[in-house]
Amino acid sequence: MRKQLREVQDIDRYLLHTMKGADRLVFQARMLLQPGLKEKVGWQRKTHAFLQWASRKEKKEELTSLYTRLMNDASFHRQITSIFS
Amino acid sequence: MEAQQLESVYREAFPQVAKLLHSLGADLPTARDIFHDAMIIYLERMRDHRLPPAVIPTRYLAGIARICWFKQCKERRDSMQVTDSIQLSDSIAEEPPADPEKKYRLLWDYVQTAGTSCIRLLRAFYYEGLSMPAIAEKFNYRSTHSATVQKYKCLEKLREKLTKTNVYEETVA
Repeated sequence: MRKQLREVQDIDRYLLHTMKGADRLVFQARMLLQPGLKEKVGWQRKTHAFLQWASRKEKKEELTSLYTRLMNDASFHRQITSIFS
Repeated sequence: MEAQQLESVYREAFPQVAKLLHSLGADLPTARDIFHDAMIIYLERMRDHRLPPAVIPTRYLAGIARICWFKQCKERRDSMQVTDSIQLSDSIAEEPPADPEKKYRLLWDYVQTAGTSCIRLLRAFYYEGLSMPAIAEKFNYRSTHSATVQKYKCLEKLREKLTKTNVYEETVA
């Protein structure tokens, strides 16, 4: 694995709390000494948050597709629309 | 959850949740959207093994949907009165955030540049919580190591895109 990719891996281990003990302390010290690393950690954290956001959005689209398909079933459609009529 | 199982839960739970939400004043599109938010919370808790033992999905979904409805009412300062006795549980914090469609489209177009295979891989690990050996098998990688390297390449690519365009600050944050 190339150097930059190992750094992505280290940041991930730090963010996901799989980096423990002395390794974690050393990493935290590196962040203090290297502002660039700290910035990358911030962006990677935001990338995780974005992935969660986008995944939920996709999941909601899947549920909307399922809703549309089920509403094409006459029996289900009748059952639902009768509630709101 | 398998697609068939998901459909089964949906078929059984939605009519009951719709009845509940209708009784509280929701129309069909609102009931559907709230139900979908509740389903996402339910599925995420299932993924994280945080559902109570022997939970009845319909009853659990109805409980979450009720909370989401009152939260929505509160946020929109609906005319419906929300009594002090309603306790908003931690489910609320996990409700998928609302987002303006315009910003969503902008982000979504942006995500596509990272490649759909990358997004599927990242989603499998960071959202669905699959292990790397399971991901290697699912996406036909030669080894867990190959899948792991690819995951970090994809993550690096996405992180760089986010950093360069600074789109994140304007939209998600």
